[in-house]
Amino acid sequence: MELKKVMDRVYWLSDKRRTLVTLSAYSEKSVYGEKIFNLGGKIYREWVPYRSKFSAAFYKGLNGVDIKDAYKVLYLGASSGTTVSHVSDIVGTNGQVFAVEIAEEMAVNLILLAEERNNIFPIVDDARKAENYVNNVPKCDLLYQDVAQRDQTDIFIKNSDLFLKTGKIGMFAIKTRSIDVSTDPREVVRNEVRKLRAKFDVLREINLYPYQKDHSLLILRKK
Amino acid sequence: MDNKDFVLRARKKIKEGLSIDDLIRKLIAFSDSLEKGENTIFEQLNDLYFLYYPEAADKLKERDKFIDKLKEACDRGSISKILDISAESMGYDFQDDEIQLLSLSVNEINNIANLREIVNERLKDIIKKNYPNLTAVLGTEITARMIYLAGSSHSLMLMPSSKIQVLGAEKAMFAARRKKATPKYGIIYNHELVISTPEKLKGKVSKVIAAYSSLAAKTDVLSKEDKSNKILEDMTNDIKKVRSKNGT
Repeated sequence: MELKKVMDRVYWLSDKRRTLVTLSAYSEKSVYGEKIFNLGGKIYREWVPYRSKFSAAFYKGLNGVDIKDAYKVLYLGASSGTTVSHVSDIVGTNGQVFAVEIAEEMAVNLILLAEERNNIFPIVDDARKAENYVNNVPKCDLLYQDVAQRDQTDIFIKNSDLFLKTGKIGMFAIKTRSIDVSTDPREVVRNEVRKLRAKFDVLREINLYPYQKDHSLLILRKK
Repeated sequence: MDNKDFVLRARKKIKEGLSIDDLIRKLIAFSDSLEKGENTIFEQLNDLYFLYYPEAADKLKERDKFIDKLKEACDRGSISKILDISAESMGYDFQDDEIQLLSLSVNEINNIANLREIVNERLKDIIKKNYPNLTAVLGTEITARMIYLAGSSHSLMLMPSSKIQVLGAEKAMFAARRKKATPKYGIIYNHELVISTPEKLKGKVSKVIAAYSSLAAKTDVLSKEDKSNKILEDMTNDIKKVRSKNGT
């Protein structure tokens, strides 16, 4: 097995087939049942594309985004913390991941994860009401959003206005089925991109099929 | 910066966000899945029993009857006495071991049934204590279902009575968007006052009941006073009016 670096703390592990892994910043414990690899005393955790849209983007040809050690990340729609745990691996013990989740049952898992990983800052609140946590969250270097709501684009714009530094990256997972079921998914993405153009440069648009259905990941840079 | 504050704040928020409605919702889901399990096991067990003693299994197609009769013993000798039929059977002759297995399984279903009884009893107590007005209007069972379908008593309180009337009939409601007529009732159909009404007036009566349950939900959630007597009296008067106006 050999490691090929994608970006800081993210590697392709090639064996018979390639597997995306992150270098674990904390314990060697598996967070959501993913595989653990121990190579030369370092612990790597498998980043499963079917569970995480961020990982699926790497499998679909993304070769790095601007996220590294000690970054501050605002993560909207953290759910039970699957992707959050990997983002927390990437930013390391000096970084901070502010994870927002509204659903209580999901947030319980997130809080338990945050007790083990000191760089995750759980916020149980509605991402629509960003003013509720505006005093607690500083300006961030990366905004990641995965909320699957009808007004997800508005939520993204509002949060990026408040929290994202200029010139930094925003990652936006669009679930087309949440916005409009009857229209062609490509058309929906095009419409949302049009809304975002005023405030962002669109760097890439990645369709996450077959790992995630009806999902696209937009990589944007704040103007 | 430490994440201790964030964790504490989040923990507090979760704790404050939980209420008696969450318990009600989980208990209903639990009771439902117990019943489902009971039915699945019963179907298979009745099938198994059919192999051994088809004459008796044919008479014991209802779950509760099946459990009741087979609780003590399952062999042909005792069952034929209970059901008053011949012990001569065309079924396959089971060994003692299999008969023991049968009676063990029957006991197991009986245990599940008892457990469900206990869960429902507890659910009834909780509903009665927390929602006296709704209980008076709808009865414990429908109140519990209403809260389950609405998500919480607070969102039930926010619903207009027309929505409460068709709660539980979502499928018919969406079909009505195409061409069919809108449904007249959802789970309110199981209310004793609706059941006892002639078919023609069921829609009208359920409308009255829905209006009063909306009122009762608001009383329960907002003022928390027990005004059930007055609400119930008004409702019976209104239903009487509806019935006399339409000539029954």
